[in-house]
Amino acid sequence: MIRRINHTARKRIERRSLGIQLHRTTPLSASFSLDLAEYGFPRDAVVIAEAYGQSRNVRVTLGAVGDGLVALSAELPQLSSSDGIHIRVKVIPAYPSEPRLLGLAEGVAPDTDGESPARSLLPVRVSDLGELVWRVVYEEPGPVLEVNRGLLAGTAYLRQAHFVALAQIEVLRQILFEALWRGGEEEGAESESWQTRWIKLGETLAGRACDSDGDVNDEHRDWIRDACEAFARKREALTKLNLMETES
Amino acid sequence: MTKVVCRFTGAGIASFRQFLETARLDAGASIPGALLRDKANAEPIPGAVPFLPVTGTRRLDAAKYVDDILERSGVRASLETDCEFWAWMVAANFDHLCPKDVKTHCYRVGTDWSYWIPELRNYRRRHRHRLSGPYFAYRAHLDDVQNAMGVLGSRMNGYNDLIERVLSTEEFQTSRAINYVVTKLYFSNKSNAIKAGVGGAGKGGSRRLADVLAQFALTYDLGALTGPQLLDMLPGEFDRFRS
Repeated sequence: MIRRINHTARKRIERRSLGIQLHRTTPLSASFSLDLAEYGFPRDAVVIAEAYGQSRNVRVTLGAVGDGLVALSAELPQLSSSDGIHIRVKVIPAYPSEPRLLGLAEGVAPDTDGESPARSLLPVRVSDLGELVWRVVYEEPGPVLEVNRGLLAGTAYLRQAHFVALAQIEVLRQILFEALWRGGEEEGAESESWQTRWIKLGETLAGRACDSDGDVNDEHRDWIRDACEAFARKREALTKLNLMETES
Repeated sequence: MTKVVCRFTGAGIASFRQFLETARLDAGASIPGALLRDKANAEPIPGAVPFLPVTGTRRLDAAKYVDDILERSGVRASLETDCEFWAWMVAANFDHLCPKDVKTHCYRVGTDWSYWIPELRNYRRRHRHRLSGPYFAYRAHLDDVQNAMGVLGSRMNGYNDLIERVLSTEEFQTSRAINYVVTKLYFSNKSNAIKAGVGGAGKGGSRRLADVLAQFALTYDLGALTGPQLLDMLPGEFDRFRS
């Protein structure tokens, strides 16, 4: 995969270096436990966390990098719930140097009390969609599949043969296109972004690699088509749909 | 006229959607009173807050109006994330928030309904809602509202390219430095309104500003910059708005 080039000197801070736990206390609070030793930041550089979502952006200064181990707990009274909150971690030089980014982690989904820490490749959310049955929306951490609140079968419908055959493959096609159009990771970064995760899935399905730096051409469209066809075969979409029709 | 502030029920939201569909094409369409009042469509919010229609013309007026209602309700946090509440509020003030087209005499509803029914989880659209958009911008700058007049000084009932560009991420929306720059560049204290020629992709315009700021965000911690520092970093094309 061709990667976007990072022309700045900032380093990408990997998710594995960030222990971030949101607590459903009143007010909401967070515990940060960061291991930044491997990045070689100056000892006096400052680490800042920003919790964002709900049209809020709450900054917490976690302290100096020091030996690389940074830990702090903080209340986030400006946030009304943990719903949809993500974290951005920045490392900047100590004052009075200008605040150029030395390191950055974007769109980090924190672990939340009582929830699985892993983010699904495609989270599902029930929403008010009028007459639309489903749609894919793109949020900063990645795509989300929204399903109409009024659907009688609820999210169980997503597992039915109808949905797999007629919608799930279209969902895959849409997201792969969006991932290619938006481009992959910055050079030097590990594969962490949602685009990269989805393109990797597409590569597994299509059986071949795909290069993209934001340009989607006929070759990419063929790759998406092959990935969708492989997905349909894997799910036996037509066979199961026909079986369902026969049984009903 | 409804007497207390309400939120839509599921049936109410569905009926409001039907109204929006009709209003786009039917010059005679108006919000049915039953939609706002009937138990099947609407239920009072806590606090029995008396309903008074929004007044004023600017987004700041809209923000203060809702802020007062949420304060009186006593359940600010839950109503802030309640789409049915925001939708009802827009419906109850529809004539004020949605102008009519001078030629067709139909409401200018458009096809993007996030202006009327908020998409609070969608960071690309949530700022568009005619009441929750101004409200959240206002709350983010509550201690220095004058610093946010660039995004609160425009009309509450129209599309605004400046808002569309500057409020599309939380980092931009809540940054004091960015709001300082937007206000200094684009808000006229003399006329108490947004300057002419701000929208669009022209030199020094709002789209260019969004592009430049997005570029800066890759290099700088915008939250650590002061407004004057950020203003000084802008290229010369913005000079025409500095006065």
